[in-house]
Amino acid sequence: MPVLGLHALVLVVLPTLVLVAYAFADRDELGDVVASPSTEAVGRVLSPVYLGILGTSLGWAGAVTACCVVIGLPIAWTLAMARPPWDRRLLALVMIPFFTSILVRAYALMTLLAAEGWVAGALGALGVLKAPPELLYTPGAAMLGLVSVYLPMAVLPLHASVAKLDPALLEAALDLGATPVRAFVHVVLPLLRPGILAAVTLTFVPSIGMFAVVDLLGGGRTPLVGSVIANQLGGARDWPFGAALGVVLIVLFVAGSLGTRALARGARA
Amino acid sequence: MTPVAELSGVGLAYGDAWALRDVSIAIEEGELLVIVGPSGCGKSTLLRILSGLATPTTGTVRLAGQDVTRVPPYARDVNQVFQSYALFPHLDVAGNVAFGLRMRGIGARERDERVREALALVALDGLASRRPDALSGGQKQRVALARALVCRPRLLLLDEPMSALDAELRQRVRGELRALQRRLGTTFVLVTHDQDEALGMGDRVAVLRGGRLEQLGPTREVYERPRTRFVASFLGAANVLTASQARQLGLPAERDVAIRREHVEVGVGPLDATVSSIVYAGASAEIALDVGGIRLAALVAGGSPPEVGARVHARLAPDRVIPLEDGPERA
Repeated sequence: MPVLGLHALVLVVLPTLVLVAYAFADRDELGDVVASPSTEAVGRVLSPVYLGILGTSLGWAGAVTACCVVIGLPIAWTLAMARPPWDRRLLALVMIPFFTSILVRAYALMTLLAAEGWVAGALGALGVLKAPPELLYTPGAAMLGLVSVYLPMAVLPLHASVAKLDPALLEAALDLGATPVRAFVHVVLPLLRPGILAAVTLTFVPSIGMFAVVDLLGGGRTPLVGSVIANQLGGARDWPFGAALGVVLIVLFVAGSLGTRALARGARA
Repeated sequence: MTPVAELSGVGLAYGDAWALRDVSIAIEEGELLVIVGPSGCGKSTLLRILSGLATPTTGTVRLAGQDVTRVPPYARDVNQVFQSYALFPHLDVAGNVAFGLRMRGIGARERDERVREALALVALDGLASRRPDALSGGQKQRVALARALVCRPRLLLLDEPMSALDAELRQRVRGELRALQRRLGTTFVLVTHDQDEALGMGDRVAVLRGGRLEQLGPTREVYERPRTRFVASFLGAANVLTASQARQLGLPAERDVAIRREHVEVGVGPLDATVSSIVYAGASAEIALDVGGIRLAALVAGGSPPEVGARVHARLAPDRVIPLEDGPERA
């Protein structure tokens, strides 16, 4: 369809080409981008320091994704098994954060985790901790923020998958001698594979580039690639380097999504 | 001899509603027991209680003498052919059939051997690597059968196994299933709402109604001597007459009676009847008669049925009249 093709060209292809062009551009003494080709920025991305940051970021995104799927699956299961009117009410509880600004949710978490916040207060009141604990501005807080932000993105595709599951298949597995755990491993998980892959894609991809939540809750102590890019385009005024990091991420995403698609095809064949 | 399975006083309540109430059945080794009744009569619930997928509220379930009332399905020597077959879509035919053996920790060599045997038993040898969604309804049914039989259960449960097949296939599968059961000697419990299936397949038949066991006995006995008006009309659609109607027709009756349609003779006899409708079915014809305001259904040979509106003579064979035990017009 020509119309679709046109807007894909304007909204996706052109911006990506601009990004690539910047990645291979040079800067003058004042830091302004000049139109002369250079591989300096891309070369810097491939240096050990930044490859290390990329690696850490991938690890974080992986951990966020794993937490979202593991926490999201029981939530999705509960949603799918709930009887009306509870199914809609519970789904609304998942959708409300989904529709709420990520920044609002990050600030809400900050309030909860602050030194004089509710969580610290509750722990103090229970006598668990004597000194006010350091909760905010820790890697743990950043991780909590990312998981809470992306959890709905995992729950929704998982819910769709669980809802399609035929309960008779689970009963057949039990009837054929599978304990509930083995029925889950041998029947439920394979059948949820498309939903799990969708949940992984929808949490992994955005969480690798997220910087606001990480900076707000982690206090800027965790150097992840999203924050680095944000810095290059902001304070550091090094657009080619920021663009180069972005291009490397895009290459990784395309490779990753081709990989998951091959996996999904494997599940269907 | 200990029965293969024994239900004593089994009931299952959902809140205040009893899906099944006070049912006692002893299932004998090697028989094919048909559980029949209209939808919602509790027959599927009964099957779930036998398989362990449901735990009864009252009563006990024994398998080979052992109390298994609270034993989960995966620890019971019982397998089921599900109504929709419930084949695992992510496994091929061989994988589906092997599933129960894998869960029981049977080694690969024996497993392959038994899967091959089971597939040969249901004539699916060539389809081992097909996915369920590439099978016809009849093939799926046979995979489900092989998947259950490969575990060599003491008791095989079949939940409406023919309901998803078309009419022509249903007829054939009925015969094949019966022959298979005889050959293997496995005890089968088959649930159906279809009276022809019940009459045509079972050694014994249990008629359920509203969660209660209405009658249990050898198929022929239940057909020839139904105890209640429900059993009489549900199995074989008998004519049910009140005592006064029966006397009006010249039968010496003290209680309600049933008479089979094939025992209403048309042509000769003391009764004057008007033919009010005819359903012609080739080899036979079902005739609705009006005898002084009483409707009677008669099943006659299809040769030369009378015309609608014709006045005919009819006769009820007195020795074929079945006295019923329940009172008039039980709700």
